[in-house]
Amino acid sequence: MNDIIVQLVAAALGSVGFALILKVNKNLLIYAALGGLITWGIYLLVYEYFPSLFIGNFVASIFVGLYAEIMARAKKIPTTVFLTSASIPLIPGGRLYYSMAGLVSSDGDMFAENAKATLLIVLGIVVGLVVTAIFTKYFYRIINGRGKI
Amino acid sequence: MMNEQNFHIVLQGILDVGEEMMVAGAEIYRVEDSIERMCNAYGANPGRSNVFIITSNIQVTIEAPNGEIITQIRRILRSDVNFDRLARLNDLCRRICATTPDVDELQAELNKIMSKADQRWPVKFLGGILAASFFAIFFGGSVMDAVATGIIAFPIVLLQNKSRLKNDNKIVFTFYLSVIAGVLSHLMAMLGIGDSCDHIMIGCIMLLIPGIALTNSARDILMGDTASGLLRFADSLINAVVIACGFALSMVLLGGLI
Repeated sequence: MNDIIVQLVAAALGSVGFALILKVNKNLLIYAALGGLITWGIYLLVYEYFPSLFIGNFVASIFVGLYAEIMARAKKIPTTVFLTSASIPLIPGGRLYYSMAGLVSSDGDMFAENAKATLLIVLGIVVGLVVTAIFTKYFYRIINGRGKI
Repeated sequence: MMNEQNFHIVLQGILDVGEEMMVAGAEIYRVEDSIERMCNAYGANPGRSNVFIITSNIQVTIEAPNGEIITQIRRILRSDVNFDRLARLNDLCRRICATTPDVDELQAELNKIMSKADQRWPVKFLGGILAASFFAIFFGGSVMDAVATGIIAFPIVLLQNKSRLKNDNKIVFTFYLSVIAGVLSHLMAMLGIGDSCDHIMIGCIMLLIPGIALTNSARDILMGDTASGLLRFADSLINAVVIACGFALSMVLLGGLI
């Protein structure tokens, strides 16, 4: 349990760090923290019931996409501002490192396992974003009454 | 009234806004859409506005209100991600579409946004330190690992903002930053400031990894900008590999010493 709290707090503050690096307006930093925290919370929750890297990241990334779209419309600020800072906890920096470490120390198993995990995570994130983007595109098209699906 | 303006100059002003949006880190489809909306707001024939962007090149052909067909191309070689500025530019686009100011006013508004003071140094360092140290903890590091990563974040942020190499060759620059970060991580572990060299390095990797390029490229591909999306995707993959190589080199050089 303690581990989870540490991870969530670190995800939130790390996201704020990235928001600062990307020069997000300081009034919006709280949304970066919130986004990072909930994203990682959802990942942990999903992973608990479906222990798959792909599904965990897929669901979390659907959340990030929706969160960014909703915040963007509420605040009238481009989606990418919220999307980029809130999705940072999903980026597989650790896995990338361990696959590289496996390669350097000629540990084939370590490399294969982590490289596979890195690809799965990236795929999960990207497919999740695809789903949200398509969903919001058609959702607003229907709402605005412009064109058919 | 709009007809009296020279539409070449109007389009140039619109492209100035679009260019700065790209530089500030906007998605391709947003900039394409904004440029087209602005052109149409100034009275260009809506059915004949063609805007196409691939990462470092904007091209626009429009039919001006007087029937003249105008093409302009803008090459973009800078990159300076600034989401606060992007939000302001986006706002400016909306205002331009609503009020179609004359070109002098447009340029004055743009200058006002561009001349807004840059982030101060303490904020820059704070961002780097927060990102690096909390991701060291996030991936399983101890508090001491976070402290060590935070110390390394200082020179990294300094180099990212000051080094001239960044604009010369981004890939070489990333490699050079990765090697420095890797060597410093080993140094920290040797000095006993951090507990685990692995976690210090992971924190540093998170600081260098092109998360924005990856998410943006995925979105570009989805929105139908396959060409620019794939270019950016390839760019972020190459960057990730270069980062891995840089850290690997530092491990090969110093790994045996610990």
